[in-house]
Amino acid sequence: MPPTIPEETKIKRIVNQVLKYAAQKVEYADILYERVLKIEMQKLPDRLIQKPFNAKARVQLRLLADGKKTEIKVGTLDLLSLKEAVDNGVKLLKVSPAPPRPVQLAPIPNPEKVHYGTAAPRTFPAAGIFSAIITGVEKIAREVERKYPGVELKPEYWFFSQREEKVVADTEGVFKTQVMPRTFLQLLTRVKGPDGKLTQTRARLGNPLPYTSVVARGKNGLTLSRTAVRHIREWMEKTVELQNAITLSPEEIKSLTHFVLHYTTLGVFVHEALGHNFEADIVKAGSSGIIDQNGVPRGMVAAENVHIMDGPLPGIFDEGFGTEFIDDEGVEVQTKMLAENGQAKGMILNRETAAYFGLTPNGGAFSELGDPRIPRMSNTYVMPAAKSNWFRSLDELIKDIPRGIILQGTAGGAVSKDGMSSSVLIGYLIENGRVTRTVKPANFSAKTLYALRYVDGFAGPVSISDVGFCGKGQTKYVGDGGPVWTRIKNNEYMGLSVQG
Amino acid sequence: MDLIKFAEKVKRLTGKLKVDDVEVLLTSKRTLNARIENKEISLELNEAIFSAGLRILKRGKIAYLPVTEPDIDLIERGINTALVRAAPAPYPSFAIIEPPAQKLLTFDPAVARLLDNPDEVQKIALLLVNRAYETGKIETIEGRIWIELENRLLTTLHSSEPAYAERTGFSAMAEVNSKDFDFVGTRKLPDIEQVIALGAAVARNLPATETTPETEGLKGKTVPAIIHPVMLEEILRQLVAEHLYASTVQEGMSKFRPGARIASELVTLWDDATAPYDGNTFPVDDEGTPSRKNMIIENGILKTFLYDRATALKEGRESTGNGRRRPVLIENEHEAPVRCTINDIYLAPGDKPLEEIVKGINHGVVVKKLLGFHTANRTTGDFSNPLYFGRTIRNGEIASLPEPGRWAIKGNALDCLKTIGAISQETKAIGSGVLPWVQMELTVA
Repeated sequence: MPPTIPEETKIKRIVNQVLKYAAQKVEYADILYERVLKIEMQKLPDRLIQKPFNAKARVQLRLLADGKKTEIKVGTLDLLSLKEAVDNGVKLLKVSPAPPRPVQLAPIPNPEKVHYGTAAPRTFPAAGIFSAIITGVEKIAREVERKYPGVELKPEYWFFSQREEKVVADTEGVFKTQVMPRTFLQLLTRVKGPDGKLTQTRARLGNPLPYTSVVARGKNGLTLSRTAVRHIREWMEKTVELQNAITLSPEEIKSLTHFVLHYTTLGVFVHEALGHNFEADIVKAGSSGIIDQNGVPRGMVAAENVHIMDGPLPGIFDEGFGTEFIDDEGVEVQTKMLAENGQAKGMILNRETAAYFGLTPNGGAFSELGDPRIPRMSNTYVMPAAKSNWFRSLDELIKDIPRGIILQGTAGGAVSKDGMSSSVLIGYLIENGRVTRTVKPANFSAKTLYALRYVDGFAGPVSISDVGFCGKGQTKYVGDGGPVWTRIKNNEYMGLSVQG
Repeated sequence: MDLIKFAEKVKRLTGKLKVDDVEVLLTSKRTLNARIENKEISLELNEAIFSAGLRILKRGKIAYLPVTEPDIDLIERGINTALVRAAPAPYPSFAIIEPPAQKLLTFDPAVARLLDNPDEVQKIALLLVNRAYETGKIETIEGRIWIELENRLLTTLHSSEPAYAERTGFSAMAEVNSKDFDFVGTRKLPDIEQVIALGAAVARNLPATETTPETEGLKGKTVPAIIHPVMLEEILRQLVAEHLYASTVQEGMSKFRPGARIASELVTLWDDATAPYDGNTFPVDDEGTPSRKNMIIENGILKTFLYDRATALKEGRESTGNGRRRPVLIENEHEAPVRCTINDIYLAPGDKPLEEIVKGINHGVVVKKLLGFHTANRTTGDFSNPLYFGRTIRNGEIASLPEPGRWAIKGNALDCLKTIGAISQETKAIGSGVLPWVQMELTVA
């Protein structure tokens, strides 16, 4: 049974009064109310900031009349403020120019279902959680320093865990709520080597789970979870490895036969190179490199052995940093097949773009606290379309590669209409089927339509554990990923530029 | 809402809770946005967007409280919770805010008036779109016209009166065919004709041809690059400033030393939070230190690092007015930690017209935006990113657009300051400072 929002009756009363007021003035109105209660800690180079109480809430009000829409963000769920917002919205509608096509919203499927979500704490033992993280991270840093004499580790970290609540309601009687937790830990490791050389990496853990995914209760109270310890140690050691990393010249990069991408690199690559181009507002604006302005896919976007998906892993709601049960318009979030066997197929829709293209909304509308609800990715990932060339281990995947490179981790990415860019935290040179050298951080770029056409192998299970904050004028929590390793033949449409 | 009255309420509450000191940052915003998507213009409004960021001192400890609702009961509950997990404080008390000697210019009634006249805003947006389409060169145009009125207040428990300002904001942007963009950003109403012409001007200036590094024979070569003010601001704010912060220096991670030559002698750079109608203009920084102008680099020589109160105290000196709430990643301003942060950035213009600088380049590039620059390495200053918006220069003339996805530019932000060989006479107000175009050396990767 999904949890309910405290004061649901009171919130429903205010929301219904506002919607009743709006219904007298416009053809349709809906409201999104979001509230977040979080604890947060930031360890910066020179200070530790602990916030055991952080409360955020905003309202988004949308009004439709005469084929026009307006969207109003309101600071608080207060009846008078919201009625004033309705009045101001009506004024905006009057002066708004009519769009080339009247704005319509596709209906919300399953309108009767009210409650969604999963258990989320209402209170947090902040003192114990913060202590466990501080003690745990510093202990691992000192252990790594002892293992590599002469290096100095400077970890910075950022942690938050939160309870999210949202309410979606409209003038047609829909009233839906969602409650869920979300937890995040970011580690930025900076290493100063014996000769003063500086190296840096960034690692993240994040999921739609309570704080217990990062700290676990042990004999002596809360301590870092095993997953967190393993992840932190791995990336601290990689930062030390970068002290002796090499760069590659354009000629050396040209000579590579294959790229082997860890899911943490592939995920951002897929998110940026392909994912944004499937967002229906970008399609409608004519800015998608994959689907034309009429919603017609331009063709192949990946090799035949590749599906591109977005959403939760089918039926699984406790993985993926971007996982939610309903979107911010109250539509249940679907796992969307964006490209099937390499062929562009679907879009990420909100209600407005679904109506525009004559489709059914698929739960892709999200906003940052009170902002307009626009099509957004949740967790974007590669799913192998067949079992051929899907190996168990990295060793099997690289054994036939004469000269290639493994790319792992990301510090983020960006997209343009025709191309994408994502950063890579660390690389490993492959020579004659074996890993030989560590390679400096790099930037990976590609032309959108061709980015994944040269995928020719995978290894390991599919993971959507890579964690991101996608910016599109507003920030959204997202996950991404794919098989643990994906092999791509070097080709003229991909570029790699290694720092140094 | 009346922020001054609300701040007094908070101060009375903290008196009741017997804290030693409190610092209260309150903002309330109202914005109107005309979003442009080809021929479609949508109006969006933000109303009564209140935020509060409190820092509380009690018995040598400091606690932090961010909230978004002007609810005094919520704040009381928050303070009590925050004090349970307070960390050792870097100082015994917050700054006492002195009334400013002069009123800074942050408010333009002509901008505020537009907020109540959305029909005028949508008309400007419509004219911008129509003018752009009249060029016959538009495939897509995206943009916006954005108007803001912000009330901003900072006070501390023992200050007799708060630092307070009404700040207006106006920005307009047009991106054409996903190939180039232009904008205006200021707190004062700009020349509306300039706003209306934004999209058309971008469209007219788009070269008809695209080229690749291979065709140009530039792959792997270090070439003269003209850096647009927008890109220069990113390089300075994201990478160079990190090494100017006293916090970085005190940690031993800055690559700069005081008095050292860190840039070409053409470079004179300062930051400021007092300039008329600029982005960060306010009487004090986010911890009550009076705002000021700091000469950072003079003729290439590093003159000062940038201090907030905590880092200044460690060296027994005064803050340079650079204690600002700077997000680590995605926090809103009221949630972000107060730390060393550069204010609006100014680089002294040079003596050459931009056209003359271009003429002096045989084969090079103009860099306006690198894709994903936020991923650059702030520890080392290294970056390596695809060229998103730019131009190629051949035989002293702007020649072609870079073919998307085929160009990458790499360099080191700290090293390339030393390679600046020319600075333009022309400058651009970017909304957080005023910068010229500069010529430096970068590598086509």
